This record gives sequence, C-alpha cells and structure tokens, in this order.
Amino acid sequence: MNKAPPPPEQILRTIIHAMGDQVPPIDAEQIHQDQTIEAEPEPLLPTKHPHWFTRLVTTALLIWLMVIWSQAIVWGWALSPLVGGLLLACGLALLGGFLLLGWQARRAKHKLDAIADIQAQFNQAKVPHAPQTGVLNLSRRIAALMQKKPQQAQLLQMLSTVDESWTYSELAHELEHSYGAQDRAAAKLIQREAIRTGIFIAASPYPLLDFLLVAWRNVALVERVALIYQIKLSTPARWHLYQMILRNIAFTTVTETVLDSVSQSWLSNVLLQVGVRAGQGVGVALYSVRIGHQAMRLCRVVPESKPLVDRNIGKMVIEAVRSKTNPA
Amino acid sequence: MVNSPFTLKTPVTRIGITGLSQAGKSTLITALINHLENIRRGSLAKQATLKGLTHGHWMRDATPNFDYDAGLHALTNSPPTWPRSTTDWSIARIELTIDRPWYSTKPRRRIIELLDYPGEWLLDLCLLEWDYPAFCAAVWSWCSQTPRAEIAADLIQQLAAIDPNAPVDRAYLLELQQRWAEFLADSRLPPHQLSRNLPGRFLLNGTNFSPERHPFIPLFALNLSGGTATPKFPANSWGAVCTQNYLSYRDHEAKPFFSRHFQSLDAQVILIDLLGAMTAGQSALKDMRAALECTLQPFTYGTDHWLGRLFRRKIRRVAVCATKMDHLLPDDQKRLQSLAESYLYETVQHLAAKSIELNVMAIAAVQAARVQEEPDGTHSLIGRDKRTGQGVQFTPPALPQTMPHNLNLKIDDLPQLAPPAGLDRTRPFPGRRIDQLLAFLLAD
Repeated sequence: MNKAPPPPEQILRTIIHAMGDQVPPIDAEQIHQDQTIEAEPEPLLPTKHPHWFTRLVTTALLIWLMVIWSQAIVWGWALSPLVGGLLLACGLALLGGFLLLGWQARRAKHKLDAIADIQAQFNQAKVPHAPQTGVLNLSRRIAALMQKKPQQAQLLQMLSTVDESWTYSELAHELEHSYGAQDRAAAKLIQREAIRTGIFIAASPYPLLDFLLVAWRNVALVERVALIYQIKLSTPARWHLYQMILRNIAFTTVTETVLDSVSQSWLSNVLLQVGVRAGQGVGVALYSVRIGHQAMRLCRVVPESKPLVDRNIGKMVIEAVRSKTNPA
Repeated sequence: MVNSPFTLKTPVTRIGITGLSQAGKSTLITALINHLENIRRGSLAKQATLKGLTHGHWMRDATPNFDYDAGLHALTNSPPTWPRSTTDWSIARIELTIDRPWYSTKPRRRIIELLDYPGEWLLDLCLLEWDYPAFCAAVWSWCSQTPRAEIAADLIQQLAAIDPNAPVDRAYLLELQQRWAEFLADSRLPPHQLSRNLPGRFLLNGTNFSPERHPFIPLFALNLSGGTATPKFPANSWGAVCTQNYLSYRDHEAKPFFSRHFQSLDAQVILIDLLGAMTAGQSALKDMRAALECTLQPFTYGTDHWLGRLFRRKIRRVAVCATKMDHLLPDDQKRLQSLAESYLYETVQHLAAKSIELNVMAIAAVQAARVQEEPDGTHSLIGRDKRTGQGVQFTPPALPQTMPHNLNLKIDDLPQLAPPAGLDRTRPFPGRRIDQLLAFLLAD
C-alpha cells in the first residue's frame, strides 16, 4: 500500500526591503518615543493628595473623641454601672456603625477605581499600534464587577461570548450597545431634572430657597443616575460630584445676590428682571447637566465614544426654561 | 509567597523562568531586574496592581549570584549584543520596597528571586520518571524518525548494533558518548533546531559534572528486541554499565537540580521561542512542544489553603510567554498570542485545570525592532541584524490566527535582530508587555 505523501509545508515569507546603510539606524530613544502614549486618559476622579496636616488633624480628632468617650464612661460608671454600660454600648454601636459605613465606602471605592482602571485600559488601546491582547481578561474583570447585579444579565450574557479574537474597540462597541437603555434613561433623567432645577431657580424669589433647591435636586440627580447603572458611589466619587454641586450652589448664590443688589437700582423694568432670572435658571440647569454627565461617566465601565448627554439637551434646557419663565 | 505568622522574615517570592535553550531567559531576567530597578518610571509605574511599590534594588548577596552586570554590559555595549547563554545556575534577588501601611512606622519589604539556569538542563526533568529502558525507548522513538534518523544515521545504526549483554568496551563507550553529545549539539542548531536533546548535561556539563566519569548511551537493541519487562544484564555488560551510570545521572544530577531549584516556586514563567521554532519548521515545532510537555510534568501546581501554604509551596501563577513579539507587525503580535495558545493548547488546558492563575501572552524582553510607516501607508520593521550587525528593513509574514493541527508551518528568512543602541540602566529598557508580566507575577 502506498503511503500518502505528507501535506506541503505552509511557508510564510518575510520580505527584506533593504539592508546595510540604506536602513536608518535604530536606537532605544526612538523606541521610547514610539511607546509614549500620545494623550493620557482624562482622570475620572481627581488624584488623591494625602496631606500630613489632614492626617494629623484626623488623628487628633479621633484621640480627642476617644478621650471624651472614655471620660463619659468613667463618669457614667461612677454615677451608676448601668449608665456607664449604656454609654459604652452606645459608643461601641456608633463605632461599629462607622466601621461598617467605612467598609462599605471602601468597597464602593474599589469598584469605582476598577471602573476607572478599565476605562483607562480602553483609552490606551485606542492609541495607534497599541497591543490588542488581554481583551478576554478585561471582559472577565468587567463580568466580575457586574456579577452580583441581576439587572446586568444582558451585559453578562454579552461578556460570556467574548474570546481572545475580539479587539478592544469591538468590546467597547458591544458594551456601548448593552448600556444603550441605561444611557437613554440617564440622559432623559438628566434632561428632566436639569429643566426642573432651572425652572425652580428662575421662579424662586428667595436666595436661601435657591441654595437648598440646587443642593436637593443635584444630590437627588446624582443618586438616581447611579441607581440607573446599579452602582454605589464611593465617598471620593461623591465628594468629587458634591464639589461640582457646591460650585453650582455658589453660582446660584452669587447670581442671586448680584441680581438682588442690581435690580433695586438698575433693573426697574419687570421684563428685564424676569429675563435675568431666566438666565440664572439656564446657567444652573446647564451646570446640572454637567454634574449628571460626570455621574454617568463614573458609572460606566466603557469610556464615552460619543457624548453621553446629547449637546442638544443644553439647547432644550434653555428653550424649556425660557418658555416656562416667559411672562407672555 | 510564604507569609507565615510565626516569622518576621522578609517574604520571598520565587519565580522560575522556565524555558528551553535559546528561549531568552537571561535577557528576560536582565530586563525584569532593569524594570524593577526603575519601578517608578515608565509603564510599570502605571500598573494599578504595583502602585504600592516604591523602590526596587538588585541584591548582590545571592549565591550564586545572577550576573546582571554582564547582562547590562552586553546590552549597553557599543554595538550592543544579547547577554551570553547561561553556563551554570544562578539566582537574581531583588528587594522591593512597598509603601508604608497606615498602621506601621516603616515601609514593608519583599524579595523577588528569579532563577536562571542553562535551558539544556531543563530537559533532564523528563528523566525523573524514567528508568533506563524507558529512557532508551523514548530516545529510540525520536531517533527512528526524521530528522534525527538522517542527522546521525551511522551513530544510530551503531547504537542499535550493540548487544546489551555483551561485555562493555569502555573506550568505545566513551567514544560513542562523545559522538552522542556531538549529535545532540548538531540537532539543536539550525536548520533542525530540535529541543529534545537528552541528557542535557552532555551538552553543557556545569561545574561538578564530568560525563567521562559515569558514561552511558541509549542502547536501541533493547527496543528492537521488543521486550517490555526490565531486563537483567550480566555484570560489566553494556546494559549493566549504562543502566548503573544512567541511574547515577538521574539521581545525582537531574533529581537534585529539580528539588533544589524548582520544588519551591511560587510562580512560573514558561518562555517559548515560538517564532524561532517556526523558522525551523514542523519537526522543530513538534519537538519543542513535546519537550515542554515533558519538562512541565514534575511541577506542582495549585492553590493551597492557608495552612498548607505554611508548610509547602505550590506554583499559583503561571505565565506562558511567547518571546520576540517585536519581530512582528502590530497586527500580527496579537496573532502570536493566539498562535501560542493554539500551539500549547493541551499544556494550557492541563494548567487551567489546576485552579491556578494562568496567563498566555506574547512579550519582548527588549524591543529590537521599530515600526516604519511608508508613504503608501504600508508598514515594515527596521532593526539591526544579529549576525551581520547591519541595519535591516523587512516586512515579516502575516501569521495565521491558529496553528495548523499538524504544525506544518514555516517562516522563511525572518531576521534575528540585535538589541537597539542607546540602552541605559537608568531607564527601563524598551520592551513589550514586561510591565504586564510583572504585574501578573507580583499581583499578591
């Protein structure tokens, strides 16, 4: 019986274009320059700057609280063992509560850090010639982040189909698609809340009320955006967003104060006064859109490829605030 | 990493760089030390898992110490060359300083040990489970087929003609052993580039081994007779002498080498020069895969519970790395990884079943090529040829997504590149995915 000949070897040919002096020399510095990422991904959260003074004050405060607590227990014990025991139990319960909150905040922080890290990885993969490996690991990491959320079943289903042949852009595209419903819901909420806040501010006659309204509506907006994405915001993330809210409040207060002082002397025309108030409402509403937008970016594992909040929302907010505050 | 609560010693993480000869172990270790020395610079500083690491310091007190100075000298010389092949085992020890935790007044420390050794000796791990007839049978199965049957047809014929029960001729035995060592040396060189070259110390003796003291050769008549039971040879016969010397080699060279260096690893890097084997073709690819599968058998993998970790070590992280990814264009670099996965599918599956953390990646310890974009939008690579020292501009072939099942794949004319000029110890060497490899290995 004749033995079948072995199949021909598949030859992969290298093409040599030039050799010798025609080829430009290569050195490590050029390779370093090639590897430098052109644009650093924009940080989602401000970088931490732990300061020795903050630590010192925190430690001093904690020691002072411990001393006060111990003194209270001793005093209570001298009065009656029951009072002393009660103070001890209350203190322990408070401490336990704070530790629990701290632990939850730490967990939430880790989750948001992981999201920021994943987003940075997506951004790095956009650089020309960036390696496209590790997609499978990244998808597993995303799946692990989402595991305990039954609402993310569709996302998990999509992630289970990812294999090593996927590129980062394909994964990002699919994730964008999976986030579609949540993005739409969040954008709609931001639009609605921004318009409402703007109208409240434009219609409100009292500066103190403006201040409370902005704080209340913006905090609620941030919480509800996070709820849409099934994410618990960490303390640093919250603090970052609250800083933006504080700026919004500052804007409201300053404009209100200026408006009050100016209106008594210059703005005798009622129509002009209403117009200026509408402008103040529009300013606050646009800033609220920005806060909501930032909250959305914090909650998604994939960076935005196109603006998450349609730029037209700004125009719509302006139109809505104008129309609602127009006395005609 | 062993973190016993009963000891205050600095925790040590032992990482075994496992690779056959010419896989690039010494270059990788040199690059790893260089990156750890420059831990706050370059891409390593951006790795989230290594954020706490503040400083890396190569320690000169390891015995025998890895010759980092020689590696640096070779790479930073003018013209630069790759570090020379390892001739004996050594340890590279790096002390890492980790950010001070909030409850402590001083920073923590951690020691990383990287083991270097001649790749030729790794093959000896195949011998651990074999007695002499099993060794002869294995070698016969390789030598009875091409290309070995063609490389040393005369020698194989002479070995097959020896009657194991006949009285031994010591001078002839020494001559045959010498010729066997030469055959092994020929087999591993281009164009064959075969990997299963046993025994490893015949190729590279090391300081305390002399092949003439306990000579042995494989006797193929044992296999030709078709017997399966362990034969009894008359005293002073070819069979008796070779069996005795083989067992001495296995028990006094191969076993201590494994138990001394590989039994207490925490992590392992399996380094494969897949592109190198592909330039030699199907036989080299088959041989390298079989050699890797054989050498990985004795290692102990798995995640132990905390109590077990106090008393014994197991490999908990394995990185399978295909080297020289910089010899390919960016699109093919990803394919090299999937090709490595496909090539080592059974090994990877075997490891994946051990409940360890496993990562298959393509790397380049020191990047030797640079992408050049032509005016017409096509890309090519430029580098410096290792043999001629001249510049070379080339377009490497496009790789297939997966390895053909029969491994009949061959890359033609892929240049071997020399390291780039201008490398400096005070900056991380330009490499590919060394940061990711370190982040994976040191993630604890």
